[in-house]
Amino acid sequence: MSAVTDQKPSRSFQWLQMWLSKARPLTPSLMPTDYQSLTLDIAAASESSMRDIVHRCQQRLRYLLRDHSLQLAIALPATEQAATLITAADKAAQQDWLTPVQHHIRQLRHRAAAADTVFNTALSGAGRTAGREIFLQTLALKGETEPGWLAVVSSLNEYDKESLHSLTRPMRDAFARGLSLYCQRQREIRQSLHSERRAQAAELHDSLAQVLGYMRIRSARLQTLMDETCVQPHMKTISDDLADQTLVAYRQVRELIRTSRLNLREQSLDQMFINALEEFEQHSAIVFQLDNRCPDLSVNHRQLTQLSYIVREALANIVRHSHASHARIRLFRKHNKVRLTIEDNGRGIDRNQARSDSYGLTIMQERASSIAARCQISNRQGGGTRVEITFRTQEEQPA
Amino acid sequence: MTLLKFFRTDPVTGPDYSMNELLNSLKDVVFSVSDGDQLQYVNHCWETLTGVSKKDTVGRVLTSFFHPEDISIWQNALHDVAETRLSQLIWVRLVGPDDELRWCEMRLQSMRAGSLYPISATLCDITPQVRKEEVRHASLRSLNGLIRGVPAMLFRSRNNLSWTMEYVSDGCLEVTGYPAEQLMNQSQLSYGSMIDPQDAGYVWTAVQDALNNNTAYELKYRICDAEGKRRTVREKGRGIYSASGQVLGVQGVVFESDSQ
Repeated sequence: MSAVTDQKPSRSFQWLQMWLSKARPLTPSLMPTDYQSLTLDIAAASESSMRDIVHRCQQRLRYLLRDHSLQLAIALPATEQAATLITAADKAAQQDWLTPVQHHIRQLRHRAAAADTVFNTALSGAGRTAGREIFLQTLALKGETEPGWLAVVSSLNEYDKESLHSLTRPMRDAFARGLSLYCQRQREIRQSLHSERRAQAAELHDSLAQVLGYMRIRSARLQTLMDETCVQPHMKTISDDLADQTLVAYRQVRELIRTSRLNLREQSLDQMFINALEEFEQHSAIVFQLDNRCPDLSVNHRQLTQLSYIVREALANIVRHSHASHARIRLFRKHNKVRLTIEDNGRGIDRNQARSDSYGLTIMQERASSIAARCQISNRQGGGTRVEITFRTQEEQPA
Repeated sequence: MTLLKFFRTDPVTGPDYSMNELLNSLKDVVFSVSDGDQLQYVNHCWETLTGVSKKDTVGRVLTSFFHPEDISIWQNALHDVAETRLSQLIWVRLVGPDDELRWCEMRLQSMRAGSLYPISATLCDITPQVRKEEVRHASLRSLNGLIRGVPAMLFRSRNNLSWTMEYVSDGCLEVTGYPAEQLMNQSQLSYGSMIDPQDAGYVWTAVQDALNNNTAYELKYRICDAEGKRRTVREKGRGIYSASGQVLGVQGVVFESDSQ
């Protein structure tokens, strides 16, 4: 019996394979069937099955290159849900080499030319002592502003590196096509979920507002009747309190309806700040400044939505009430937490004066607490108002 | 001979101050960085700008003083210096002593012909100019927003029968049904051709009377909008005159009248 399938390929077979792949580059139409099915597998993958796919590809490369220490990982661009998402075949790889990969990708994001370049990066620290190198190749993802990455860590010699390049070429194409579809699918799921939630919230708020509107009228009527007829002072106190609280609840719900109708399209905090500032700049002569010292900060969708409402509410209050000439949004880290401040140099808040926007302030605090953030509204030193939101990102959540 | 002695200068012996003294007297920052963007030298002005002493600065990475969003500007400039071998001018924000941002104009270049590093650079604090520009920009932006949002057509036109528009605000669309761009300096479509022929004479005469008397005018007339419908509009305006009293044009506002 001749062993046809189980034997590892010989050196000469590898050379022939490499020569053939170089001589006849694999165009999409000539992509081998297994790579086409790889594309489909990736496109239809879930987060858990993606690891199996990467693992399969890693096994294939290990087999073909005879390097059992070779490891493979893919990295998807940062989304509103998380930072750069890395899926490695080996679960234990995180500390060993994925952290430097993540760090390197973060640096490459700043360079405009990063998208179309293949990087060959030496590992620093412990990795270098192991004598391994990371091959970081871009994956052009359709519909995404940033590329994905295919990362391979290996201890191949110069001769085998050539083979690695030719072998990863069709794999790279398959990953790029598959991940483009995967990202598109994930985006559509997120959008559908978001719009469904918004529709449900708006419906709920509308029906609540109707009930509260009716209660507001009835409680106001009760208050008037008590004024005219009631002889017992404690009943009068109760009816006044009832009317006041109903009015507060009614206005809060109206405020919630107003903000839930906002159509938020931002994918990142940075984009959200820019959009919000552009929106409010049009309607005032206030000088707005943005000082974002955490440009790479990723927050989840829930945090992004709530922070967006809070920022817009704070900016609306500045334009409507502050009489300020300057306003500033700042985002920075302090004591392992992220702080977002929206401040102005206007006349500040007089808490003794009940104003219509005080409902907005309450809702801002409620929105902050819904994402485990702390919202402090205070007068700013030197004049004006300061809204400070302190929160942790997903990466910084205590285990 | 005496005259010759008078014009004779002292032989050049060099200045009586050191290069360090000269650099420290400058009100701009002068610095150099080595490979890895490590600061090698800073002059005295650096301390004033950043609040960090020279001793604590040398050896630190330059970009650690930058606003995180501006690090890529520096990296791109380095790339350009390496490619073109020319000095580059960039604007970056530095974190000042009070954690406030300082806008700086930086010129950087390679010190040696054959290699990118060391890099020498100067930094000039342009924060006051930037702040001033921000205020000016905000004022202009606000004015544009105001003009765009007014539910009326603000205009400046030439004083001719076509009322050729030099400027019309976005409210043009609401009043006439035509976008503003379609009306400005166009020969095919003029505001004059939109005015109902029965009212055109009255409009011309009334405006000319006001221009001659140097007074404002107020008119009510009909126009034919983009859909061919007749609308009644009101117009308030006055002439634009040169210092010698010559009529340069007309400016005012047109808005839809409720009453037909």
